[in-house]
Order: sequence, then structure tokens, then C-alpha cells
Amino acid sequence: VIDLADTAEECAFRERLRAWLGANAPSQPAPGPLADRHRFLLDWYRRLDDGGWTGLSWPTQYGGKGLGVMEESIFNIEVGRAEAPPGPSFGYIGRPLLHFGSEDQKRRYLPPMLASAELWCQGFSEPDAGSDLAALSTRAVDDGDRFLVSGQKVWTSFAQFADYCLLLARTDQAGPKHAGITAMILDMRSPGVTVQPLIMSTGDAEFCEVFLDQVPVPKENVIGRPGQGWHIALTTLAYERGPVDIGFQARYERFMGRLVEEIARRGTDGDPVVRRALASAAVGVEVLRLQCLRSLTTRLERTESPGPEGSIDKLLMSATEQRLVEVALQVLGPEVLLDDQDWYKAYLYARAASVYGGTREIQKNILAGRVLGLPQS
Amino acid sequence: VRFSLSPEQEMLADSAGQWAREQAENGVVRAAVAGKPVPVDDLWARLGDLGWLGIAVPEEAGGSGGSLIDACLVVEALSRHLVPIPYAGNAVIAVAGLRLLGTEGSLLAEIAAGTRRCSVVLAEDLAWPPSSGTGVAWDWTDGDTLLVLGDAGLGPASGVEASASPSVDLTRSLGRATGLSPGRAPSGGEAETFVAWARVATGAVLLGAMDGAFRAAVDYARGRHQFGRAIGSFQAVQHLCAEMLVDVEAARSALYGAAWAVEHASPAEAARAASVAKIWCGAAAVRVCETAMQVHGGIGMTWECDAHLHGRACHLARAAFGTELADLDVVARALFAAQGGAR
Repeated sequence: VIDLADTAEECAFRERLRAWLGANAPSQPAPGPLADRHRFLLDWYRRLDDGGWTGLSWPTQYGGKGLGVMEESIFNIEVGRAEAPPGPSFGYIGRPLLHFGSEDQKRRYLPPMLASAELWCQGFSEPDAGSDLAALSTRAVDDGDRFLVSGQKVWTSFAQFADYCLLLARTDQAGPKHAGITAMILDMRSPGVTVQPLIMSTGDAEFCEVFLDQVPVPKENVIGRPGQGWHIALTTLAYERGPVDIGFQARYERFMGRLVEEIARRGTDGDPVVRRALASAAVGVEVLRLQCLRSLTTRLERTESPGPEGSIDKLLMSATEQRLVEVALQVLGPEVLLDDQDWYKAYLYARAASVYGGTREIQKNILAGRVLGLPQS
Repeated sequence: VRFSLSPEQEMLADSAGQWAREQAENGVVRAAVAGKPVPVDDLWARLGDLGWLGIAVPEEAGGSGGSLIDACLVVEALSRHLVPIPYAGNAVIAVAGLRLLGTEGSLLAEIAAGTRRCSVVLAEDLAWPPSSGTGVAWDWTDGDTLLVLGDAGLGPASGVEASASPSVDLTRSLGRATGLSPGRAPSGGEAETFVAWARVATGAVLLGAMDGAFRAAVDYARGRHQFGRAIGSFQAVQHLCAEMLVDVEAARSALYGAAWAVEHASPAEAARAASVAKIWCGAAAVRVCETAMQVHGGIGMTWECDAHLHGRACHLARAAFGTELADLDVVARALFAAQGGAR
């Protein structure tokens, strides 16, 4: 059924959320320096949690609110419209834990994750295992009731602030490369963990290198079965691909709003070239919104976890973001290359959209092979 | 919020697709392309039997009172297979115009019954309404009633005549209309909503055509062998196919979303949603058809390959009821209005 209007319940939820945001959304924008921004966001996440707005679509027994993905998407959109920072993003770590973790693990780790009382990072990529993730070489050596883990992870977002890491390590050196990988929970305060911030092209150090030297990980921290890590990774990556899961739609709408405001402020809003460029970027944002709503409905109706079609949304999302920032540079003119470089920062940041969570090329491989059923290359 | 076709709509889309494929296989597409007669009246009678002519006609006028989305699903299926009949122009565009602005009550019932076909007259540049004495009659076949916007609304006008006109689209029949009294641009919500309907209808034509081009190209990539293997196993070709898939699915979302908005949202929001869909579908359709030609290689350059037919249909539909520039202006106005500085 196509009904893009809220149901009565959704409407009530939206109204309640708007009222809460009106009273509680931060009045200041997030500060620039990373450490300050981190403290600011953490404070916001905890305020959201106190207000009962975190873990909306997660089961109640693990600290969630037991609602649906639609409420989650309403939350993301409304938070964006209130000019508040997005809520915490932990789906890509929490969902695999929810699907594959033991009951004890779920009870221990999910509630503080949803409440942002404990922060997580994702230890997947390595210097020699990026798109070819299954080639990862971080080794977990059996040492009685624990593993000793050694290796290096990279592009690990916010590792410098994380308490735990969802880690992929090789527990079996023999056999096919996909089969010997195990997912485990790594306490970032363990001996042998060294975190080295890695400066992005924007100048920020949002992601890190993580060095692991004989780090002890108790075997009870294994998620799922040993050797199931590849399957768990694929599930995780499917969540990371959905723009709604990571609340980016709201970010784009906010960016669009700021851009239109800036153009109006400069008085160039009568220039047809500027207006049409803005409109073409806005079309992308709106089409992405509709595409994501359609995907969300499919997920509600058919299956809980996203399938390979999620790569459509991811490709559309990265193209939309990149088009948006390119239009921003185009309509704002050379000035943003001089003093006010935040717009250029957004441009650089957007280059990552077609790399993280699986590059654009990997997403196309997934669509060709798993959705269109084209023969193996 | 829910955004998926209902089981009934899925069935309608399936049976319309099936029917359209059969017509194409029976040779009507290639007959039209060769300039041979197409049995439009026979096909029309069968569309009437299937109940598709009156999908969006209200029940009190003898239609089935369905939604615009239902009619668009049929448009999409017919366009996917390039069936050369003036369905979109009648069952969606004329019906929408008559519902919103109609001056003659009986026309809707006659369209639903299949006893009359109508054609809305556009300006020379395919915008609406005409501002000079001549225009283009959209989806017109000989004998159809021309609908012209006058002071009282949309209806037949005396002295207006049409004769067949060529166009790049070899599967759509158009007329050249003369004898129009130069009208003025319509104002008011209903005229705006009519244009939104028409843009959604042409968006459905675009969606169907690009989907047809896409499917044919993927099939070709599966079956065509070079270097001892299917070309669809080469990553370079696979990526072209994946790009087409993204374009088509995003177009589907944009179009169905706009179809909903035109019937349920405010006139301003309907206009914006329709323009968003038309802009996206127009650009995506041309991209997809060009990529489909590329995937077909040398075959894609030939008259026999349908890729150019899909592309031709897309270029014409993209221009109808206003070019992309007009739609961009609608979206830009909405952007600045949302910002409080309406211009």
C-alpha cells in the first residue's frame, strides 16, 4: 500500500518528539575541534537517552523501545528538522550483536550501547584488507580460555573514544580465507591496544589506526561461532549501507536548508543558474528519501535484515551527497575556497561516502552478482 | 507511512506487463515503427474489456474509481513494451484534465466506456497550455477529440483541427493542432494540479521505457558471448548494469511517491513532487537508454534493436508538459518558499 502520510500512531509519535526536541535540542551547533565535538555529542546522546529516544527499534529487554524502523526514520528526520545533531549511530555494531550474540552478551552490552554509556568502534578493515575484507590477517591465537590477538586495524572511526570494539580476527589460518574469521568483543582498555588517530583529508582525525599486540580476549567474548565472522561481517555491512540506518537523510536535508539560507543571505537567489543547480541537488535528496522509505517498507513487510538491494540505496546516497556538496561549491563560488572553508570540508568529507561501508565499485559488484544474477567475473 | 504496492496493484502491474508483452510479440510495435497501420481500435476495445480505460475515472462516471497510481502502472507496462496506443494521454492525462477542469461531463464516461478518445493540446514547445494558434495534440490518433483550455475550462473547442505529426518517438502518435485561440496561462490550484498529473503520467512513460531498455540490456549481457564468456561476466559491463538498476529503482520511488502526492497532498506539494519525479525520471531515462545502447554494442546502433525506440520515447516524454527547466523552477520556488523567502 502506498500511503506516505503518517498513521495515527506515527503522527502522535512525531508530535511528542517535536515537542521534546523543541525543549531539548541544543541551541548551539556542534563545536569544530574533534574532542570538544565528541563531548558535545555525547552529552546530546545521553540527553536523548534520558528522554527515551534511543534504541527506538530495538527490543525492550535490551534497553530498546520496541518500536519499528518507521519510528526510527521519523526520529532521524525530525531531529534533522530541529537542527539538532543526529542521534547516536550504533546499528552497524549492535545489529550483529543482536543477531549473533549470546543472551549474556546481549544483556551485558546492548543496554549501555543504546544509552551511549559505553562507546563502540568497528575493527574490520586492515591495511591489506579493505575491499577484500576476507583477506584480513589480524591473528587470534588460541591460548587456553582466551585468544591472544595481534595485528593492525585501520579506518576505525572514533576508536580514540571507544570502550569496546567489534573485532574481526583470523582464528584459523588453514582453509579458505572466508572460513577462518571470528567476530569478537575487544575491550579497548586491554593491554596491547594502541590507538593512533589518522588525520583525514578534511584535517579531522575522525578515524584511527588500531595496533594490537598480543591482546588477550576471553573466549566468552566470541560472537556467534568461531569461523562465523565473515557471515556476521556481511550482515553488519548491509546495515551500514542503509542511509536511514545511519540517519544521513536528515543530514542532507539540513545541509540543503543551510545552503538555501546562505544563498538567500547573499542575495544570489534570483539567479536562474543558481536556482536550478540548487533544485537539481534538492531533487536528489528528495528521491533518496522516497527510495529509502520504499526500502524501509520492504524491510517491514518481508524481512528483518536488509538484503543486497541495500546497495542501491548506498549508491544513491553517495551520489546524492557528492552531488549536493559539488552544487554547494558551484553556487557559493570561489569565496569558500578562501576564508570560510567549512563548505569545502563538507566536499572532502563527501568523497568518503563512496568508499566507507564498501566502495561504490564493490556495491556495483554486489548488485550485478546478487541482485541481477549476472555471471561471476 | 507505508510505501509498497498493494497485492492488487502488484497483480495489475503483472497482468498489464503480460498483456503489453503479448502485443509487442504480435508485432504491433514494429508495425508502428515501419509506418504500417496499427489496429488501435481493436487494442482499445480490449483495454476496455480489461477495465483499464476507466481506472482513474470516478465510479459515478462509469469508471472504477481507482487511483492515479493504478493507471500509472498500466502506462508503465505499456511503455516498457512500447505498445503504440494513446493510453497515457487518455486514461491518465485527459481523465485528470476532465476531472479537474472539464467543461463537458459526458466525456469522462465515454473515455471509460471506450467510445471516445481524447487528446490534450499542448503548445508548440510541448509545454501547456498553447499560447499561439497552433499546438501539438498529445497521444492523438485520427478522429480523436481535441481538448483545449478555454475560459470555462478544458473541453472541445470549435474550429480546432489536427493532422498527424511526425516525432522522434516512433511508437506514439501526435497531431498538429490548428485553429486555437491563443489562451492565457491558467491560474489556480486545479490547473497546477492538472500539470502535476500530466507530469506524473509522462514520468510513468519514462519509467516504463527505461525499465524496458534496462531489462533488455541485462538479458543481452547474459546471452552475448565474447572472449569465450558472457559479456555480463565482465566487471565493466556489470557496473553499467548496476548503474541502470539504481537509476530505474530510484525512478520508481520518485514516480510512485509523486503519484501519491498528486492525489493526497496539497496542490503546492503535489506540484513539487511531480516536478521532482519528472526531473529524475527524465534524466535517469535518458542515461539508462544510452547505457543500454552501449551494453548492446554494435547491435545497439541498429534499427532492429529496441534500445533506440526506448530512447526516442524517453526524449519525447521528457519534453512533454514542460521541459526540465520548467520543473527545476518549480522545485526551486518550493525550496525558497520553505526557507521563508518565497519568490
